[in-house]
Amino acid sequence: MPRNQKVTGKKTAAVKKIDKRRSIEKIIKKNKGLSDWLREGGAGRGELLMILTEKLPSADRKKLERTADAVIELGADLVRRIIEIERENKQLRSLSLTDELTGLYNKRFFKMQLGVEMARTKRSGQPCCMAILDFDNFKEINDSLGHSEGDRFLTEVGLLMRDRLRPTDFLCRLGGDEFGILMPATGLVDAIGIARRLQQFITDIHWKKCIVTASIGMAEFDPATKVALDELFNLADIELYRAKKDGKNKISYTGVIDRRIAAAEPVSLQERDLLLKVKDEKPRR
Amino acid sequence: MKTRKKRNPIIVCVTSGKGGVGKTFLTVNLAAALAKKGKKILVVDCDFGLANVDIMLGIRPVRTMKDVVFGEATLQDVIVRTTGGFDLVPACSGVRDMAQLLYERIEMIKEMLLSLEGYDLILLDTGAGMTEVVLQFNLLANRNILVINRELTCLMDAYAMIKVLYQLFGRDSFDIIVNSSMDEKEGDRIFRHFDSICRRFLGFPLTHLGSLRHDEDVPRSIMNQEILVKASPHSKIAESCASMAGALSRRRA
Repeated sequence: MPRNQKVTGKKTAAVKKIDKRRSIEKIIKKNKGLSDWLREGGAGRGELLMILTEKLPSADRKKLERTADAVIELGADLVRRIIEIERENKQLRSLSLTDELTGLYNKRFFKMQLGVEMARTKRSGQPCCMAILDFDNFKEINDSLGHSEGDRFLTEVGLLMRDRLRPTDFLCRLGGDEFGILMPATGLVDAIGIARRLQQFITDIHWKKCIVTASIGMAEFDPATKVALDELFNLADIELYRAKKDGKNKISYTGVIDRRIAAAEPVSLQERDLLLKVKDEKPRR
Repeated sequence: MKTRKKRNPIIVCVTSGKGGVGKTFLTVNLAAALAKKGKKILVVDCDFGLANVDIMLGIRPVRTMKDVVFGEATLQDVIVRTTGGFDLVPACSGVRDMAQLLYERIEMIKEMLLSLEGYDLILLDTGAGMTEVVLQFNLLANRNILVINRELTCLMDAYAMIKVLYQLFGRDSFDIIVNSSMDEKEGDRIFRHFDSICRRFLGFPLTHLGSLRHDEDVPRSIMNQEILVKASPHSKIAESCASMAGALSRRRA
């Protein structure tokens, strides 16, 4: 009895690519049901059961065909094709700008867009800030709830975080549990405010009763200092490291303005005027 | 992930921004009122350099927080029992470099305070102004009480204090005590006004812990180095202190 191997796959790009490979198509054409199914195109998703086998007597093969969408005999040619397709997929992935797991932008996009924003800052003089966010206790989730739960956490919290940011901000997954935030036309004062709100939001999430916190490192781009793209990225990374060292759930930042003054806006004249109105108010009787 | 085995004391910081608003008077009387309710209370005089609590209580401290900061004594060593039924960590007066030194050791002091056993509440009486030390003590505390009165300068300083604590450290929960108002209604009115501005510009509401009406008994008790809550327990002021103490101890955790 020959060894049979069951392969299930989704009707996705990879399968369609097989469609285009002529030699594989030849194999598939014998399976009329499958070729029809493929010709229908990419609309909708479906289950595809392929059985890869070694050489089979035709009676056995017929039997198998009744239970599967396709029965494909393994040969050197097929293996080579699969390797080729895999290589192509990998190349496509490296060209991609979105993160596979979360669907957010990826590091490639982040660096690309950071370059754009830095150029814009140089030209227009509008400030721009970036931040790197890292969860303090993601490992705990991974260890105690399992990796799939960890992935689910990253995906859901990633999307929630994106919703909390302004439409002009970019949230990217840099890898692991590290996220990058790009804030165009935003000074350090506002950027810190945004980071602080995001941090608070994360603290308020109780993921399966785990309290999660995040550390954030931030850097403001100052065109006067002629900092290069990777240098700015590293500055934010150093600040992230500092935030972690400071005891986690912290925000650390570097920018043009003094750290303290950066975060503190003085009491405005409007606030002051209203505050002093207390003397004009008539006591209620 | 939190264990409830050992209950740490709740640290409450009393601050005002402007001086002379009645922080120390309130701290001492709140502590006495809480002690009366059977709570174990520690008051820490955090005005290093210009200490007051000991004078208000008529205590002559031999050892103070200075000895703790310089490593010459433990916190346990300097704690004194007061006539108000609560304990006190006195501060020292006239040491200029205390502030800087204290700032460097704030973490150490925090750990020492948290490791103290047997206290329900620790009240920190901070000095006036917005110095680094004052900010650090406010940050260290679990709860922040701000004492305000009807003076415009006081309202301004208290608001500035709240704004800085919010902007720098994300603090957005403050208990307000309105001191020396003409009556209850004026206290409410000042609070509502102050609260509306916080809501509008900072985006969070304040809590009204209570109001103390203006009373000639207050300066008299300070002059006599007595605790008003204890000396005249049936006065209006004592009643207000008791109700604030009740509100403070009810909302623990």
